[in-house]
Amino acid sequence: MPAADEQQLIAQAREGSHSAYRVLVDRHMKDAYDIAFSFVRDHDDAEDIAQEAFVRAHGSLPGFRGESQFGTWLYRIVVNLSLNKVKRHKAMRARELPAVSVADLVAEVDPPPYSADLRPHIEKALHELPTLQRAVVLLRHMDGLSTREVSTILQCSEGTVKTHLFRGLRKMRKKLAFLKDDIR
Amino acid sequence: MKRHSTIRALLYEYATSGLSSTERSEVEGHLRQCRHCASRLDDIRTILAALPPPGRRPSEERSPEFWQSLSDSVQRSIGQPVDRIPSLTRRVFEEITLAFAFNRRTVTLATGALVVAVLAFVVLRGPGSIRHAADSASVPTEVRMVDTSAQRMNQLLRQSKTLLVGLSNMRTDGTLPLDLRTERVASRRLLNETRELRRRPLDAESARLLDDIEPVMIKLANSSDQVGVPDIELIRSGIRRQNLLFKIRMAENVYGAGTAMPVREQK
Repeated sequence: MPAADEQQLIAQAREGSHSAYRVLVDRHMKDAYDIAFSFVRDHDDAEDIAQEAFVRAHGSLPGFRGESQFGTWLYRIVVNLSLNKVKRHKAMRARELPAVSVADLVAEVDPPPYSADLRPHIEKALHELPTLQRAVVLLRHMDGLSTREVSTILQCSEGTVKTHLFRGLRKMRKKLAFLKDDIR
Repeated sequence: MKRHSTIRALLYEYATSGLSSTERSEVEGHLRQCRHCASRLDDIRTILAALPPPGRRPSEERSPEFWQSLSDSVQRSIGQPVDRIPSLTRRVFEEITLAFAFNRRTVTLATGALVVAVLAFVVLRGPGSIRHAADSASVPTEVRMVDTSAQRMNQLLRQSKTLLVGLSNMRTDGTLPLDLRTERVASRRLLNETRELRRRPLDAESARLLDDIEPVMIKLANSSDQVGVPDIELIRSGIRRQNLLFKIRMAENVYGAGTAMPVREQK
């Protein structure tokens, strides 16, 4: 259920208020952008998706029943647009990615001792996950959304979110096999 | 005993202390008896410990102007007026840009007709015009000066466009190293040319266009070897914010037609 002031803004925006929708846009655009970026990994694409999501959300405001937060509803649009974009560019991206596996990377450099230095390896492993697993890991763990929110955004059950999360994290663990168990 | 898949789906919540006490007891009971699931828990804990804390978000790499621009773009796209009142020139350019996006053919024809009309007006207007200059043997130096300025302006626009399009299309997703050395050399040359042209008598529109081009060239000319994605994004956002590529294309239509129209006669 949207917060009271957000409900008021949505109602005003529905009635054609210029400034009310702008407040909603300003309030959510960074999160929308971050979510889009987590899928597409490109600033220009993330910008396009965020903009299009807000335009579509505005067009669909009359159908927004207020059963979830405006943000959750909006992020679902962002995710859908992002998935479409990823799907369209999947073949192209596969060609563009350097043909270097994590194993190659590991072979080239000694595993660094601190997690901060692992970041490139982790990011690579993360972005080699299947799209939905990646989305769940990013939304649930990195963005800190609840399982319920993620399930609403991705339009799947909470059980599916948990399963994707487990599988995604485990897959990352396998890809990063050089990680020591004792770095916890 | 619960199924392994059910327990494994709870391991993330267990590792991050997100379970109720009942669920927690169930998971712990299962883990005591199942070394496979206990091993999976170790995997999850290991990768969670390695994952970076939610750190710098991609949105933090964008400037406040970018967010303002994005918000404005949304407002325009949904047909609502932007609260800030941009300059008349900018508004006209933005309107044309939007129209161009939706009805390219009509706007191309309309733009072409407008350019022809303006050219015809300038040619037939009298002093300072091309016809007057061509007909009058008394001002040949001025004509050559005008033509040279127009040609140089045209060349500047063409080269600036090439540079800015290249910059806009540059990949910044980390798969390729960022190297702006060529762009830096080109921008320094174009910056000098911009400043040279600004010393010449120009009409207001041309002067404004050079005013818009100059800061981008300065930014590029001063870029370091260690340029990062945020630096490039800053320059790109400047290009977008000013609608610079579109303005250059529009101006090219005028200068590229071989006319000296935008350059006023010297006093």
